[in-house]
Amino acid sequence: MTLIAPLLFAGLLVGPVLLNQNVNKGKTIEVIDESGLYKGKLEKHSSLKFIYLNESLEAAKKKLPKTKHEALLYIPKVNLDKPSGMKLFAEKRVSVEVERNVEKAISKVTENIKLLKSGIDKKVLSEIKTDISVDTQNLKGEESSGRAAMIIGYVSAFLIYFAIFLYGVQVMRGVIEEKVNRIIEVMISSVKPFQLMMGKIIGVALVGITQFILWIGLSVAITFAAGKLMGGNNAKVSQEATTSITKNMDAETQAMMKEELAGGNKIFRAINSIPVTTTIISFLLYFIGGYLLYSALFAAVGSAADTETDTQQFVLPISMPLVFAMVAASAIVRDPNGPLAFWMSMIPLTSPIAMMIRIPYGVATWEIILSLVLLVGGFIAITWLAGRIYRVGVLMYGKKVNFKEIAKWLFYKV
Amino acid sequence: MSNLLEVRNVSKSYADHQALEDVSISIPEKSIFGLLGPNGAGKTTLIRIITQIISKDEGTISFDGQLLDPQHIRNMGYLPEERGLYKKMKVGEQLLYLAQLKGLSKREAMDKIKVWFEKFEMKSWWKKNVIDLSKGMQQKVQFVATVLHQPKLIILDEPFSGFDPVNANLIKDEILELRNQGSTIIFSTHRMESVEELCDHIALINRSKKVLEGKTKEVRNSHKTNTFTVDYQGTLNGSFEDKFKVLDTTIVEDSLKRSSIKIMQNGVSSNDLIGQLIQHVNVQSFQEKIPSINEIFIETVQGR
Repeated sequence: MTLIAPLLFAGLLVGPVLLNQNVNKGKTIEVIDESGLYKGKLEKHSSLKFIYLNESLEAAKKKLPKTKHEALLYIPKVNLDKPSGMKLFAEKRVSVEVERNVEKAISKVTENIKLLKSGIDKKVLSEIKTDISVDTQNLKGEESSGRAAMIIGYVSAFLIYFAIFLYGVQVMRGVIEEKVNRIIEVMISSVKPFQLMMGKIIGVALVGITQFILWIGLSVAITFAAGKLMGGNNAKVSQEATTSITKNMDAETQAMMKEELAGGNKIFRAINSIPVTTTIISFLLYFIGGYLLYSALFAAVGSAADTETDTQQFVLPISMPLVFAMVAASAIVRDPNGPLAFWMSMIPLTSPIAMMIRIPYGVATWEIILSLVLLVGGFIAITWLAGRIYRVGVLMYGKKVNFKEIAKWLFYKV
Repeated sequence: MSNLLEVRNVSKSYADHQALEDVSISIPEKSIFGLLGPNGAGKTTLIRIITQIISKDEGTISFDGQLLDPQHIRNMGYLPEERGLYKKMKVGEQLLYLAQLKGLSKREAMDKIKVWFEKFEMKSWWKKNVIDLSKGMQQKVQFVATVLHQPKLIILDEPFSGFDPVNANLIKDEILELRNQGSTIIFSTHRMESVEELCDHIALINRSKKVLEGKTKEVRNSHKTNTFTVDYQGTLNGSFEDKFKVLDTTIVEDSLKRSSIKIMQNGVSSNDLIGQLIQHVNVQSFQEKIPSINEIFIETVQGR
């Protein structure tokens, strides 16, 4: 798994690009243009090939299956103000991608014709079109970019989120396995339950860190290698990759990100303005802190269950804060120093994610330190609670437990 | 002979019931101690308190003259009733790991594992995953894991369950051998067949209380009911004299009968009984009935 995962990751990033690239290549569309307006113009706006025919629609339709051409486009005499009646015939159904491409080509050509008609040269128009992007600078005069900060915040928060679930669940499974195998009684007659629990959490953490480093390293390497093979199309790979990653974010954020990526170099310049050292160090601290805190919870859940199915009722509530933090991310991005952002980055259950989103925007050192102290405090408190649940839970078999029962365990003398 | 383990007035209750009530037990050094009792009597709770998996509510426990503390764990080996090993780990690695947890160095552990592998003819198992072993084989591995670090106190909870007769005998011999080498063994069971054969001492726990303790022989003798088994020819009346009572009679063969006769009065000896018997019948054999541990167990558990 350790070695296959990077391949999968890279595949996830490169795959869609590879697939997309070939969709329209070599596909030919026959065109019957009764209006005479579009002849020779459509191919400028599409990667499809267009052949213009001079026969009747009926004749062309009959021949179409033999030509192996993708489709037949029929353009009647149209009213430019309200073009309609265009039809695309195909033996089989055409793909959405082809349909969209054809539509795009027609509308572009139509636009151009209209522009010419109203006396505006296209050149003039493109001169009018202006890309505006405000260069933000912080007070120290360094160039900064809210968008670069956003991307870095999102990526690091997402990595933490992902790691907590991946490895937290691994801890939980480990605990259940020991219980199911009944080795637990042998183990806790050799070591204290708390030692066993912490040992498992730390052990999985080390596995996790090793795997993560390998994954990130290999994924990057493979992605770049794949990019090279595809003709140095790195920009496209990363763009597509980001699109697939950000699919689940809300539309506004997505649009912002896309725009930003188009900006290319600017981002890299802006990255310099982000507190890189602080970001990296905090990432490591929140990564470890968040993982430790949640895996203690997962260990407690594991100890209370006999099978993984039993854990569902507990896993949902304990993962709510994390999910909530991820959902709230876009609100935090909009106002990184607002009260929501502040409080969420203080509460230990949400701070690993909320704070990582804020940090690239620059957060006061005292806030980071306070948040980390609270995180450590939260970790100690939760581990203590989890330990109390664990020591009872591991010896409890065949009992369906609920929250009330678990709450009682906290006060058991064992 | 001094006591390796002294349990004094130990009580333990869980949220909904009392698991142990004022239990005191002395376990002599270098003995095999049978901890008997029906299911749910509190045996496992007592064992878990001794192995420090759970804590007692009241009472004291001393181990080898000192109050029990966590460092004594290294001198104990515990085979729980519910067996289990890490299924996906190799047999050898697993034994090594468990031995190191008990404080053995890697080298010591290796040497000892080799000895046991030889003894149990499991040399070829080193690289096998536990999951690929049969249940009996897994039990052997776990037995080895329990005794590998040569603990002073070995606690075996139902050690024979899951073994076929051949392997059960093998384990039985090993238990005796370990005792002879100086280990003390607590042997917890609710099955009595092997108790008389193995145990020097026993204690019986029922409904969270200790109801009986002592040397196996003495316990049996103290439960004698002054009943004798007599084989004879002739006829005995139901109560041929006030002092004696015929409990039951069976016909062994032809004219030979066997009766259980109980002496009903104090101060009447077996000689008196024989004297009476020979006046009525032709006595072929005469033997005192000594109750088995099984009978004592059932009587004690059901009688209370």
